[in-house]
Amino acid sequence: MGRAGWLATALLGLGLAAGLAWAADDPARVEAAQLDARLAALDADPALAERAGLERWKARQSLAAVAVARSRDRGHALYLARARVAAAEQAAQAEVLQQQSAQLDRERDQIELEASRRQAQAAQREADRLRRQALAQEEEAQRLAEAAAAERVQLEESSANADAAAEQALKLADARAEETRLARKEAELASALAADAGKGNASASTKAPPPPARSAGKRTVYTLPGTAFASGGATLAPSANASLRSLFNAIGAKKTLRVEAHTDNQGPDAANLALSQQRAEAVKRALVAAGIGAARIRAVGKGEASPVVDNASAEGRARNRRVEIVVE
Amino acid sequence: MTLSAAKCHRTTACLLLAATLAIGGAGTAFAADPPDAQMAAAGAAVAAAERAQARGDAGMALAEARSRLAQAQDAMARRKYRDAARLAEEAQASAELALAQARHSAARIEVEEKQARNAELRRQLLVLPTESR
Repeated sequence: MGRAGWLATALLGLGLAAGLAWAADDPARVEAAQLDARLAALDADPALAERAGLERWKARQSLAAVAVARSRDRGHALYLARARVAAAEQAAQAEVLQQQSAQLDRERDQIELEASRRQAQAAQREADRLRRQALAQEEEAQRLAEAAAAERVQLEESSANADAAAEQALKLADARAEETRLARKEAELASALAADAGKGNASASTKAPPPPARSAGKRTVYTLPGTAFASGGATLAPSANASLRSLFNAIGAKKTLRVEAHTDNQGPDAANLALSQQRAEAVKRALVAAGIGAARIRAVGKGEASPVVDNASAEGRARNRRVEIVVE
Repeated sequence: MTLSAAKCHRTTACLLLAATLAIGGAGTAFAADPPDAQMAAAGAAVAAAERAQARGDAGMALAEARSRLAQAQDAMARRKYRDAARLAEEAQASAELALAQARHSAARIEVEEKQARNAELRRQLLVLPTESR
């Protein structure tokens, strides 16, 4: 080959060296190795598995291009590889964070769900509490109503008892009064009998009061009530007798008396007239027996002619049945 | 020198030239056409990175991308189409890195905000209500 051949080979060799191979300590080769390591780490990381697939592929392509680039292209190839490896790392991290973000949204939903569940529970508890409270109040009200009703029944019973007792007491009082009346009547009868048996027994007679008096001008009028005589009869009752004796004690023997007997309007006029006459004379006899002279006493029966009140009522008739003793 | 020796020199030189040219030129295009597509792609990438910067931190990569794009446009103006293509490609790579960084940053901020939000929600909805009873 000679000199030309040697020159050609040398130039070819230089060209190849310049074009393809680079020295082991070339900074470009060092950086390429570093980028390669970073990309390998990205591929190996389990947390970043299947993240940023496209970006990692582009980075790998760029790194491969660096290996085969001519020296004058190596700077450019390295620039691209550098940018793309970094971009792949960033994209992978971003994807992880995006997944975390979605997870945080789900977490937030769970928190809100839990909160509303607890709220519902609390509301349920509150409702139960209020329900129990209402029940308790109802029971209390029921109990009070029953107690009030029982009390009312008790009161009614006790008031009924009181009424019964009062009634009892009244009956008792009535019975006692009746007893007293009967006893008094018995005593009067007894004393009347005694008086009849021994006339002139003054001690019994002076205990009766004189008949009620009213003044009529200069005269005094004493009135014996209708009860002085039995109904339809002309016999003086012992009490009337006694009161006439008291009258004599009161006025003395020197007075002039006019005895007028009256009846009510029941029955015929003539009968009433006759009865009243008999009564007047009975009174006169009693007064004479007491001690007044017969000449001083004039007895007249007036019948039903001079009523003092209306005869329509029983009370009126009772008042009209009277004997008036006019002291002049 | 005989005529045959001179002819041999010329032939060798031609051969060498051809070989060098062939080897040197292998893998490299004679880029006579303006790299319009590459320029457009680079411009779009830089624009996207610019927009992303509002949400997160892009930093130096975006500055790099802008710078490379400017140089590419410069080369285009001077009809240095091979250089322009190269610079545009670099601008695009840097812009895409800037975009990825911005997205990463935005995602981190979002996660931090959501963690704080959930912690506050937990405090307000789960802890406090039971305390108040």
